Amino acid sequence: MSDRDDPPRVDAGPLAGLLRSARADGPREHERAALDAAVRAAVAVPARPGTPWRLGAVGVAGVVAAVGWMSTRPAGPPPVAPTPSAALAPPPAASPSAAPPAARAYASPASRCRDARRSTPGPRRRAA
Amino acid sequence: MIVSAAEPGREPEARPAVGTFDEVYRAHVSVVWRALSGLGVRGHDLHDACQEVFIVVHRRLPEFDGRHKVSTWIHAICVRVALAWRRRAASRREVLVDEAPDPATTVTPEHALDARQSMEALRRILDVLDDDKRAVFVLYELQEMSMREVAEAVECPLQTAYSRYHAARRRIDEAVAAPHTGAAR
Repeated sequence: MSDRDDPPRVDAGPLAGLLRSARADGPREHERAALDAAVRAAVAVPARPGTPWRLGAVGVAGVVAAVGWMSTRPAGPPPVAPTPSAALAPPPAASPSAAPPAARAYASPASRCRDARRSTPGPRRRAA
Repeated sequence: MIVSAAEPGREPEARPAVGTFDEVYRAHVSVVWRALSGLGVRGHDLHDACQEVFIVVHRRLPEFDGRHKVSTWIHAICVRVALAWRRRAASRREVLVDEAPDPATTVTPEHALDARQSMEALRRILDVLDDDKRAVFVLYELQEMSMREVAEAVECPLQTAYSRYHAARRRIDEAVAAPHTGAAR
């Protein structure tokens, strides 16, 4: 919308073409989905509890109630809304040290011999 | 200074129905995205800045007094949020590239550019502007607001908005005509 006195907009040349095309820009489908979810989550997060200066307005009863509430308040940071960029970011790669130890691909000849000796009764056990 | 759209001596009108937050969000999400992008917020910052704009909208919607259009009010929030994000991004990192971006190479009509590519090319051109001129140019040319609405959104007198726009046009014309000498503001 333009007023009568507004200067003429760029309407010719390559810059006008860029502006026309850029006006169609917007979040792509997956970006829009991530943004929708993040905004919904952000506006649903409850506000942080009131600051102490507000307690004066509610009198002694308010102070008692607030102290009681704060003593039962679970420790930890205040709720934080997830950001859309975090939702779009790829999952962090697992570090090699965090990976479970790989299964042994084969039993070494020495261990095969050891296992065979353990399972074969010795001469004393055979005699008994 | 906020330039009010209300005429002197006229009674303020009753608060117009602006709809629920969901309605405002759905109607303006693409507009906000494009405004922030044109104002220089990039990459993943764009998603987070967009979320920040709507958190502000959600918090302040009950106080919206209807003196301006909702879109003008949201654009004013966009301008402030974009400025804060650009300052944060500038202090956080500098992206080094082999060559300075060359506006002229991206503004050839032969290129069949999609909207995202066009926006990127446009942003490179707009980078020659300072924040004040950029905001006026983006809201007027990209967002197609009237100059009165632009003045309200950037909170300056109407004549200042006009002069910022003309200065921005001159600077952009110079940069596009002589890209190799137009890197400085």
